[in-house]
Amino acid sequence: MRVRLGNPKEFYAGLVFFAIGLAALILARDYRVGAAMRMGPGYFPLCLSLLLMLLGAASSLRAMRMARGEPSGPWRLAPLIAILLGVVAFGALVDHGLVAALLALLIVSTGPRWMLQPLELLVTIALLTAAAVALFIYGLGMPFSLF
Amino acid sequence: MPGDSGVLELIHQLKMGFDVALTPANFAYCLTGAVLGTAVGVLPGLGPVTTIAMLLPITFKMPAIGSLIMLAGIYYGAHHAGSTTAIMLNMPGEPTSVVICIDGHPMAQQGRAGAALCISALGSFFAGCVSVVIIALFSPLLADAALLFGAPEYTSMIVMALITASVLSSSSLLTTTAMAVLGVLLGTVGTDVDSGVLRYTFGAMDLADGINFVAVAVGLFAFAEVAIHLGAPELRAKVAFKLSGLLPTRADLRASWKPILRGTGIGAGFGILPGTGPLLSSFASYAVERQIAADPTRFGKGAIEGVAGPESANNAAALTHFIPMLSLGIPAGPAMALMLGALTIQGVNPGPQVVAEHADLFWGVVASMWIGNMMLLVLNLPMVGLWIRLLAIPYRFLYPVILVCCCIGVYSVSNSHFDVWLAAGFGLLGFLFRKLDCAAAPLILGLVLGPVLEQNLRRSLVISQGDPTIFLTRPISAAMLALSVFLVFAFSIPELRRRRAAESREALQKETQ
Repeated sequence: MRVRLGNPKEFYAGLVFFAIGLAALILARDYRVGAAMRMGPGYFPLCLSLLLMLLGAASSLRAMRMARGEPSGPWRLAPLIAILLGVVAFGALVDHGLVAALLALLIVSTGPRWMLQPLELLVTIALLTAAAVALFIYGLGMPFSLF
Repeated sequence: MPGDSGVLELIHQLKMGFDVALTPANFAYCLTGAVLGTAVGVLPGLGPVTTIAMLLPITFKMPAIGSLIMLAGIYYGAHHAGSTTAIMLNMPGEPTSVVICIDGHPMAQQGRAGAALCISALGSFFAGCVSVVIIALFSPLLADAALLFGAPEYTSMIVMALITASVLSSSSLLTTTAMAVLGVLLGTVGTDVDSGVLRYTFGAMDLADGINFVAVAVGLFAFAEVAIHLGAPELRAKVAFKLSGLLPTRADLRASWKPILRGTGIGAGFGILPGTGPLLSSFASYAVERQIAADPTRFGKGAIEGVAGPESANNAAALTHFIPMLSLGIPAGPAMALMLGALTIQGVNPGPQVVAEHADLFWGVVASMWIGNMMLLVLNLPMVGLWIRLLAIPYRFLYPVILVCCCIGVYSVSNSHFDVWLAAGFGLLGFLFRKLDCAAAPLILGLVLGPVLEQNLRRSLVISQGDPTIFLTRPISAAMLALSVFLVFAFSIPELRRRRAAESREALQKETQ
């Protein structure tokens, strides 16, 4: 039998909070809790993770009983994945040189569009990289190595 | 209210502020901030918070005063620019401008865009001037009062700020509170100041100093925003009507000056309370104007009062938001949280002592806000055509620029590629939260306030020897907690929530019409 959810968005949000709270609780198990009078390093995280789990559970339970809610709509993940991979690539290369890092960021993050407008992208990326180098290294004097 | 000698002192301090703000460097920072804020703020999908997160790192190398002046300029510039897009394109640059769409866009369709823009600029300017005076009058008083606060009062005040921010967010109270708690939890990452124990660092020394809040803000706001925007069918901004005749008619002015006054009052009132946003004040002002109008049916069809009032309220609240941030060290919203974080990076310890210890900073920033509001008037009236042309830039050219600024910005906070990866992680989380309708603002507030909250909670409980009733037996602390509880109840009464939902639906419907 399929469980009918009142408000799917809030239901899943509640689950996310509960899961994060639980993870935080487990990770904090080695931190000394101490007593209220002398709070140890684990005291505050313990309270917070319990509170987060409680709020998450309450929110999911409430969402199940709610009359109706809109579904979360289509999840178009391609742009998200492209952007985040681009950012990760930037992080990996930036210590070696700004130009390589910027090129990687721009080429990867615009990934889904290479089939559509390759020429336009090429020009955009070249101009943007040059402008960023001019602005941040020569204009603002940030300590990046070029290559 | 200050007496005669108080007035003299105030004038003296304001003069010092203007001396600071009018040095060539600071004047240039103020102008740069206002221009950048306006330029980035009119771009679709870039509200004040994203703009600040994106441009924050540029300011790290500046002196503390200069950087705060510039950030403030970006903030009010971006805030005001949101209403330009609302009027011209029916696209609120920021949720607070939703209300401006309702009557501003119909005005534009009737060929009165110039009048709407002009009135909103004038209203904003007036509200700005009044708010700066209010900031100058009240912040020192509030700071003096807060200097008497002990750890329990601080604890309760932070709890109140987090609760009001959650209560007044647009999504469900449970999820917003959970977001705030999650923010506070993220704030515990790093070295525990009391015991030196490393918490939640997973052995990564990059996390020993805590999570970099710029990375979190850029991930949650900028990256998630870009991903959502690209995933949605592109809203092509079309400016279909020409902008002819900026000047409002005499009748427009006559109809507007009272709503501007009322809006300023409403906005300044709400803005001082931590957590209550410009959104609430512009809605309130709109409701008031419709309520007292001789002919309420004109609203939604281009009534100038519906632009004048809410825009003034919006700007007044945006500026009076600075009061709790500057005088208490409590940010009233995510944009203020970012500025507070920037201050900390600059080595200024936020709190009530800022007004006295960093008098040049406080009064310099206050004076610069007045100058900045003047600049906005100049920037927005004759140059509005230029900003509108910026609107026509397709998003596919914009988002690579956003990504480049964000990546370089996050990296340059502490030259750490780890922070860039962290921002990518928070981008993923931010996307998830956006899809699940969880507002990210309470999380940022929690993250910035979390460490302060823990310290004060710890101190309070040491004072009381572990007895939690200390928060209820100290009168100021008890009053703040009572107010928080009242707010929670007031806003969780189903009737009220339903009405609020109905109202926003109505507003949305009108907006899409």
